[in-house]
Amino acid sequence: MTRLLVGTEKGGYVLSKSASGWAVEGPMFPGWKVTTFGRAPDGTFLAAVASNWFGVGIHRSNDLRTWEPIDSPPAWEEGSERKMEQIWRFHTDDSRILAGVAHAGLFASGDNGLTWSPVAGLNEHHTRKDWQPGAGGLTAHRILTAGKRTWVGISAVGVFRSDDGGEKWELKNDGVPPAGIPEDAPRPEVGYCVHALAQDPDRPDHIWRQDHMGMHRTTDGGDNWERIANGLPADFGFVIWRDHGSGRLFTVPLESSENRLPVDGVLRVYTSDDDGDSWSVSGAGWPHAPQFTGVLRGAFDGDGAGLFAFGTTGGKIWITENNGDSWECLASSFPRIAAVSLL
Amino acid sequence: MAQVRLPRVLEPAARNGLKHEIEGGTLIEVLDRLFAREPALKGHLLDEQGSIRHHVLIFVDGTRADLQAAVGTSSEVRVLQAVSGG
Repeated sequence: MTRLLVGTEKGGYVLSKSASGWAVEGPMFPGWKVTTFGRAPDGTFLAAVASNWFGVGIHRSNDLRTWEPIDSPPAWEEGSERKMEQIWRFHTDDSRILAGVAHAGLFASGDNGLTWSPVAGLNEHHTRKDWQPGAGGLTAHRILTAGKRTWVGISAVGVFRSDDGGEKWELKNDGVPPAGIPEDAPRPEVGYCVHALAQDPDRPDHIWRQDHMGMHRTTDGGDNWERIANGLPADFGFVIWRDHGSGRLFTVPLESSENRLPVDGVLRVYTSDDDGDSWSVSGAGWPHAPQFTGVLRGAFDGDGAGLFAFGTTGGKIWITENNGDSWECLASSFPRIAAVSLL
Repeated sequence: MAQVRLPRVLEPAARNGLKHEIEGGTLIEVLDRLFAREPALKGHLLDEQGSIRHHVLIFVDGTRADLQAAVGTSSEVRVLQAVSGG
C-alpha cells in the first residue's frame, strides 16, 4: 500500500491510497512541527519533531501509528553555545543513519536511530567560525553518500565532501557564486547557499544542486560545478530531485530570493530528461488560477516507480502517478508543509 | 511526594503519562528523577546550558520557580508552555 507521510508546522499526517482516493490520518504529534521522516536500516520509521518551546525529538515506529520517543536525540554537549533547533534530514545507507541538524551539524547512528554521535570532522571544521546562517537558519540539510565518500550541504556555508568516511572534509563549491556578496569581491572559502542536492547512484559523482544562486551540476563529485538553467523560468528554488529509474530530474522554480513564489503565480514542476541540459514543464493538470505558494526542500519525494508528490507552503499536496505526465492536487489542506516522504 | 504535572503537548515524549509523583527537595532534584523515569523529556525542558528552556515555565505551588527552588513533600510542580510565539 502506498503511504505518503506529510510533515507540517502543526503535526504529521499519513495519507494512504485506497480505491476511493487518498485517506488522511492525523495529526500525529499535535502541537509539534514534524520536520523530516526517515527509515532506519532495519526498516523502522523515524519522525523528527521540533518545537519553538521544547526543542527537538525523534520518534520511532514500526507501523506509523504507535510511536516511541528515543531517549537521547542528537544534542550539542552541555555548555555549548550551539542550539539544537531542528533535525532537517535523515539519510540512511547500508548500516547507519546520518542526521543533518541546525545549528549546523552532522550526527550518526549505528543502532537504527536509538543513539547518536556527532561527526566531529565536519562539526568542528576549521571554517566553522565563519559559518553564517541563511534565511532558514544555519542548517545541515542535505546528505549524500557513496561508499566512503559523503557530501553534506549546509546553508549558507556550502557543500562539504569527505572521502574517508567522515574524518576529513573539504569545501566543494568551485563554479558556484557565493550568495549575497558583490561579484567582484574576493571569492570566500564559505558563504555558498546550497538549497538541495540530488545524485545518480550509478554515477555518484554526478550531482545536481539547486542553489540560492541557481541550478548547477557536477560530474566530478563537486570539484567543479556548472550552471544549468536552460528552459527554467527562474533558477531559484529549493527542490532538485532525480528519479533513478528514468533519470528524470524534477525541480520547482521560484521567482527569486526576494520573492520566493512561482513566477506570476504559475506553479509548475519542471523536468529534464537530459541531465539538466534543458528543462520543460512537467505534464498537465496544473491550475489556471494563480498559486502564490512555495515548495520547501524537504517537501518533494518519489517512490522510484512513477509516483511523485510534493507539498506547498500553502498546505496543498500535488501528486503524479505516471512519472510527471499528469498531476492532481489533493482536496485536503494542511498547515505549511516542510516534509513529504514516500516510505 | 511532589505532584508533577506536564502539559499535553509533551505527551508524545512521556512514556508514563503526564502525571508523576516524585520525591525531591529542590526542583532540579525532582526533574533529575523525572528524567530518570522519562529520559526523552530532559532535552525538552532543559537547554544546552542545563537551564530551564527560555520559553518553558515551571511553577512550584503556584510560584514561578528556578532549578534551586524548594519543593515540599506535598508540592505541586507544574510545567507550562509559555505564552509566546504564534
